[in-house]
Amino acid sequence: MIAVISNAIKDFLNMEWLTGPFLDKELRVSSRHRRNYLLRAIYVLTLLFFVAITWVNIIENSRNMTFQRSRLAEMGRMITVTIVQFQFIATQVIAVILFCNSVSNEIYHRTLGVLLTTPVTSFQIVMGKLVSKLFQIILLIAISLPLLAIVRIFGGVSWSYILTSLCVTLVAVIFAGSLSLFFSVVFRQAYFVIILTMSILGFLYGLRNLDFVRFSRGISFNRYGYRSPSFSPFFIFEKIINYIRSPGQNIFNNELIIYSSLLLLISLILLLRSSHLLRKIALANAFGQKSFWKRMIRRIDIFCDKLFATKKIKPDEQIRHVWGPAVAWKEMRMKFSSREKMFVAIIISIELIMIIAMYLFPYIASEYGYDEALTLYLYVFMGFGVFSTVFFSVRCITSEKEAQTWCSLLMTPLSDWQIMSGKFVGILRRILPIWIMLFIYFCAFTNISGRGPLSLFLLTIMMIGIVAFLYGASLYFSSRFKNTSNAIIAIIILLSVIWLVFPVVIDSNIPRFYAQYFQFGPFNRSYMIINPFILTQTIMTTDLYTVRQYITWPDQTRDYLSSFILMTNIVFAYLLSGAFFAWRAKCQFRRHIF
Amino acid sequence: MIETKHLTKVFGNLTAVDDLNLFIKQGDIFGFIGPNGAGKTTTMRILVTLMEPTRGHALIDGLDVTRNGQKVRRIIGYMPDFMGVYDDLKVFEYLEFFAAAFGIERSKRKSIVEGVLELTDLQSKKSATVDSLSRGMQQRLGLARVLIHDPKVLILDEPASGLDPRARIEIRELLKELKRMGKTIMISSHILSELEEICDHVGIIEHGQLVYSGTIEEIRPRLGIHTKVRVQVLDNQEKAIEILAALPQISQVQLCKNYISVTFREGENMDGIIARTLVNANIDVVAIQPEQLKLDDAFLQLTKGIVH
Repeated sequence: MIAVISNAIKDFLNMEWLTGPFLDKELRVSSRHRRNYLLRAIYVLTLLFFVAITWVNIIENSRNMTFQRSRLAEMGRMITVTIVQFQFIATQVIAVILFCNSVSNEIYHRTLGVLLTTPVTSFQIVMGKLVSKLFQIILLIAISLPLLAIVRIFGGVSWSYILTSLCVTLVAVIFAGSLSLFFSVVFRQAYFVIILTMSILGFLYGLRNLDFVRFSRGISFNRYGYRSPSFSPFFIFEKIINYIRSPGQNIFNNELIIYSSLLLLISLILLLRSSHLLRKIALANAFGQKSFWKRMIRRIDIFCDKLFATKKIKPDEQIRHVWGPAVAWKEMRMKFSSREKMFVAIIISIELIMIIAMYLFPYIASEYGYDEALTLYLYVFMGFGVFSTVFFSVRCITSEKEAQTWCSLLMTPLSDWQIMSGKFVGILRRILPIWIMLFIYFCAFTNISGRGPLSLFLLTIMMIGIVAFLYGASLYFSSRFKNTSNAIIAIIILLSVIWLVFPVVIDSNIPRFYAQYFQFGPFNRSYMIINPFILTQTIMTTDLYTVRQYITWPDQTRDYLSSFILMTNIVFAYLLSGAFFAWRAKCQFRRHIF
Repeated sequence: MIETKHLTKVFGNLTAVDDLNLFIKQGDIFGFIGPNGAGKTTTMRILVTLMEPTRGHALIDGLDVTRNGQKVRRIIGYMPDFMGVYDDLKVFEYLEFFAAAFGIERSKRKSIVEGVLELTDLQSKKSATVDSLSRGMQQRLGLARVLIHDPKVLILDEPASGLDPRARIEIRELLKELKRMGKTIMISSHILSELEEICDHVGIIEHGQLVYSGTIEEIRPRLGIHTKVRVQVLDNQEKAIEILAALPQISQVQLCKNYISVTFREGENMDGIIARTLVNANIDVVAIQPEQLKLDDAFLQLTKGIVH
């Protein structure tokens, strides 16, 4: 009897009833992969880096030792917030990346069909993938526990807050992972899954302040607080951060439980749907049956064809002869793929809806302030421009490698520069509509006459510089990696570091802190101005009509001429960096072919 | 035309090509044979400038492939083991694109493309999109692509893999036609019997090392394999075996189904003796056929644990 009970307990604990043999397999395999150790090392180092920034900021802002000691509890709270925030964001990003190819890889390697011929159920396959990769993320979360324990010595934050935040992080990770896993079932390309999941998470992040109740009554966005429930998962997290910052409130309330349950419920629905689709998609792949999603994509494809009025090539249609440089001709001749068409159509539709919404619902502008709303819109348009440039550029070589056409192209006597310039033409063809939308928006809706012609010129040269830089950098990663997903992850990391992490570091007191020991020169916030979004804001919020006008930059105020020179210098730096990356890409062209 | 001198390629701990020395004359068809992972594809990739050797040199028409990449690309045509195609282009456009990439003048492109389409029997498909072609047609299109700039040297990595018997025969016939046109062809394949018919020379590679290089006829004495003949008699098989086994020139006599397999001693090959002896013994001889050494057998013997 005891043996039966102990066996039942063992069976329950090894989780084979839920995950099939996948958990066991993944646990064995994960220890053999060097990238898992690398991931943990980078995670710990980045976490320590952010903790260091917070630490230095605190002690720099309170030089007096007695004062510092009196504020230890606050210091503890701030470091805890840093760790918890970092974990919340980093683990979700890692979850998206880890899950992005979990099922599509099985489809790609044609092992899914084999799996489905075994007694393992679709749900076990999905749960096996989820749980096995969750273990890795839980390990990452656990790594920070000793650090949190040390910080606890300072006081100020109780364990209940920390544990609650960890639980909420885990819930968010399960949600992000389930979403990524679901898309991994539907779409084969891992990079597409990453982009789609990130976009949805970003959208939900943007919704965290959105007051649906008031909005539905036609009143306005609510930018000041949470007067009515929000449907965003990030909402709970913000509440917890507020609790940690202002302790004394009861963290275990109904709201927290409801939101966590809601997220877990959505995750469960996604997982059930994934397991339901899994068999269908496997059968579709095995026997060529068109799945629901393929039919949907086909319909979108037809819709996009109508939207862009592109003609389908008929077999008897006249052959178009090659003119001009071969690669450029090919790039111009090739049709947009259905995914590319969908991508461009969605972006332009969102932009149009935003413009229409601005004028149909004037309270959007009145709530934010007209100029602020215009700047926000410009941010979004700019973001789409950057995003599309990266998306199309990063695929230009990896897609050829994946289709195994790259070596055919390299076997021709075309020089590497000819191939690069040809590819650039193809990318321009794809991204131009999106950048033109930004340009039209700027000219038509932002009172350009009040800002002066210089603003238009500055925006134009900035766009040129940014596109050149993004093309060069994306091309480098495209030539460096064999698949698009890795290249996209690399370029996202690069841009995040340049435009996000560095400005945060420069803006912190760390450089000043070390400067006093190493006799560095004065630091200021000038680094912020290389961020294209900051540049756009500077152009947007300044009256450039009169030459004598002074322009407010993030670091200081400059006159008209200095601003012009600074802007051209920044653009030149971007062009130079783009050229440098393009040169490096050229050097990599023939190195990672197979 | 193609030459490698101490060619070596190392990937981490693995030596894919190990001190390989090859020489292929102009106008020859050279069969490059070896088991999977032997180093055939790596050697070919080095020859076509897609990979750099760790040590040694590879020369095509006297040009070092690492130093004269651009020049070499103009004189070679390479067809990889798996060839990707640009799906949205039509057959004619696809070939014209590569003609433009090889710098062929615009006025000449059309006739050249028509010519290679005719050679590869793809004229009827010139308006079809590339992705609508069958695997066999795509392989033929691949051959058309490598011929577009009229290269002196063709390097074909398993061009018949995955094709049905009819398509294989068509590819073989096409290669014979190319040989008649004076092209130097280096071809790798797992279908060894196919190479036997078309190759002038073969090279057998295992673990990155060349274990044999020479003509097919030279393989037999090199391996010490004795000549065999098949003898068919009308009746009295047992008597025939008895008589033949008594001959000093013959080492072994075996009855196989409806014929007698006779193996001569080393250096001996006297078909006439068999006929004369059997006729003198009043045994009616139906046929005496030499039993050819197949390339597959040679491959098995040469690669069976010789190099480790």
